[in-house]
Amino acid sequence: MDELTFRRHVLANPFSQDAQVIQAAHQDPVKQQFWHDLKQQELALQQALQIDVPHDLADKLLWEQVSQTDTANFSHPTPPRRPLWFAIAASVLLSISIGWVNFNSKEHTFYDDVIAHIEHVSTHEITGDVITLAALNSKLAKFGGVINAALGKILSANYCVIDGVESLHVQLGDPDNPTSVFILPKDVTVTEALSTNHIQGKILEYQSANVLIIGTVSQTFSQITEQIAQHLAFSR
Amino acid sequence: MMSKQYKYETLVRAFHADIYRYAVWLIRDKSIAEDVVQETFLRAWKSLDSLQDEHAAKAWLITILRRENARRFERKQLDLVDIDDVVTVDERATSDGDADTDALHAAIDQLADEYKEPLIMQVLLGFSGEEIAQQLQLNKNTVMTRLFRARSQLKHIMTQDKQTGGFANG
Repeated sequence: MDELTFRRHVLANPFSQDAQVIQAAHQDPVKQQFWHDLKQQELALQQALQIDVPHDLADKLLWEQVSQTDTANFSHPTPPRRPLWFAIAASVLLSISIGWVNFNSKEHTFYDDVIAHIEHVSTHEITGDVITLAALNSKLAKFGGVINAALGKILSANYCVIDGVESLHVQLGDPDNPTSVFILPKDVTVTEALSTNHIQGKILEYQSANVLIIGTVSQTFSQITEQIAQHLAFSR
Repeated sequence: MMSKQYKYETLVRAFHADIYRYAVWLIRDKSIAEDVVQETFLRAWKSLDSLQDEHAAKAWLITILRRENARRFERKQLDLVDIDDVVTVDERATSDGDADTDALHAAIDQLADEYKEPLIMQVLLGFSGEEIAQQLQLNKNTVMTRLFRARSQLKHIMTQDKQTGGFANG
């Protein structure tokens, strides 16, 4: 392989695995040196292109998408118009079902989506990075919230959108069995009847937000719920 | 099946860094680059259903970004900007901030766009010659020639800098 062809090839692709190129370099020390220098330059180039990315860019992008999306998705959904007979039937049903927890389809779907979010996303969100209380508070600020005492190990704090609802998902406690805390807008209500045999759930209602806590380890869940109740406050 | 929202979150978290870095190199201004990245992802959200092959997600986002950037120029009617006023090494500073990296940043900026863009697509985004050709609507041979020239020029600039005892920014 002549010099020009060799150079054209490696300059277009410095990490080429082409057998002819490798052979040409083995046979000619000048080519080998040229290729070696080029690979060094390439590594430096790779490094140089890795400019710093704003640490909160992903959150901003998610937030922007939520803000731009039809606000109807985030407020109380307007129920579809029902005919009159439906209203009468509904009122009769209501009168005989006092004491039943009323799961409407939106709430039920939302809770299902919260569980699905925990199942699918939680482990990916725990990166091992240290999340400081200050970092958590800066994210809480979008909801007007602040935590005024250490909560133990903060595993993750990410904005997320669940069933069209913008929320902040914080994970605390044991990385293998984290407890999830969702900061939700006030207009999103979730039934209190969250706990099952496997999942502990609790909603804390504040004046300007609702906080949903979900965990699988009873003792940790109780401790974290108590800490949240004591130390989380909302200013608006 | 993955919900649209989950798909979008995954897309943002997986690709925002590469897309942002590419935008900064393309646009040469961090603040404008961030705006264009934001526009890009919003547009991606709107047409997320059209993304069928998730392996092609990065290339799909780059296509949107390049289109959004072109729109920006259409809107601005090609305002004349003195690039020397816009480009500074600090603008692209890495956490390391060493002199060699700074010199390399400046050298990359000296490349003409037609050489710089395929080079960045290859090195930063890991695109193949075929993928770059598709993005830039060129044939593969032209792309390979541009990559060859880009690195030749880069090598030449860096060698000159060393001979002149360092690079003077700007």
